Amino acid sequence: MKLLLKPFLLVLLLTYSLASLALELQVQNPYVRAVPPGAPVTAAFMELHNQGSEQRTLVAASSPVSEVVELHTHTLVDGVMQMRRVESIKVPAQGTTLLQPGGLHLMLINLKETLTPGSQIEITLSLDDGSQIELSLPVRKTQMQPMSNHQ
Amino acid sequence: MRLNRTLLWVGLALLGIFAGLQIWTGSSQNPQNLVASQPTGAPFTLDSHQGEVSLSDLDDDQLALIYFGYTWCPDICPMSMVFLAKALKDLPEELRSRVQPIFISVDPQRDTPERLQAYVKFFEAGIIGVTGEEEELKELAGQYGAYYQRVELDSAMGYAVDHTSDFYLANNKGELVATLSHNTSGNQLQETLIDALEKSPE
Repeated sequence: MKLLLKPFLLVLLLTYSLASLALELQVQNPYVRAVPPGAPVTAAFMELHNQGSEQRTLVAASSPVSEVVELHTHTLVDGVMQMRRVESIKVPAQGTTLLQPGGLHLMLINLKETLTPGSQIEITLSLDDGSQIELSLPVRKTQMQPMSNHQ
Repeated sequence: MRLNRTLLWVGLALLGIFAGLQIWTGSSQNPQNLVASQPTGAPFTLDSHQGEVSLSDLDDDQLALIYFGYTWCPDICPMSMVFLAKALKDLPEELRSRVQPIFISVDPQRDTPERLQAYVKFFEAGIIGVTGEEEELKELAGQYGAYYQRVELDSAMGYAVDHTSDFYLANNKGELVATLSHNTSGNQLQETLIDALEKSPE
């Protein structure tokens, strides 16, 4: 029993330290956009909050619902929307990075199933420190900003 | 309300000139000078899942609300379509039937008329999805002041299509009545629609 305790504690300690590393990066309000049936791609958005004292970098992501998940961004150049793949997404120490419509997003490519509004999908984020964050994201229809009524 | 045709056309023409002026003075970010310097619109006949669709199919008192995009666009195009659907939904009923939204895919290689139909149906706004030959689309986009460019990406997507994200209002002769830039608010889109449709003082 005593012999087993040491490795057990070690594993426990390791698990905790990895978990705490990942906890420094908190994900808020994640969601994935519902797209028409048969649509090959969609985008996921979220807020990344870094509570830690070091910059964290999102280096990859994956999901069981698509063949590939890539990190992408949009930039508006002379009125033209350009979507490009990015290598990584940085979250500064004590800072926030927003993945939001019209900007940075996770791009789910070659969807394996139709994402219906109201359902949840899983995405795993991989960080530069080797830690991973498992997320469950609601599928949402594109949100509209409220508009005033015109009679 | 009875429509006075002559006045309607005068109104539309004025609005067109006004909108044109606003666009070319306000935000003359002419993307790489590849669009016509004075977009005038153009008639077109393109392919939908139910065969050919032509602007001339519209009634004289109808306007087409045109958007150039592609279905592999996961963010900007759906946002624009939701925006369009909402603006149309909020139109008074008698005006709503006078606007025909049309989504022109500039990615005919991936967007078959059938795929387009599944895509536009999702937005529940009676949008017609059409596409055509590369050459034809390029010319048409230019005539409306739209710009797009296929760009090879180091991505599982293969390629993306950089594109302007504006709305164009045209009549059944293919004349451009108004252009609404991507950063137009929902209210502006609605106001422009209502103005264009209602410019018919007794």
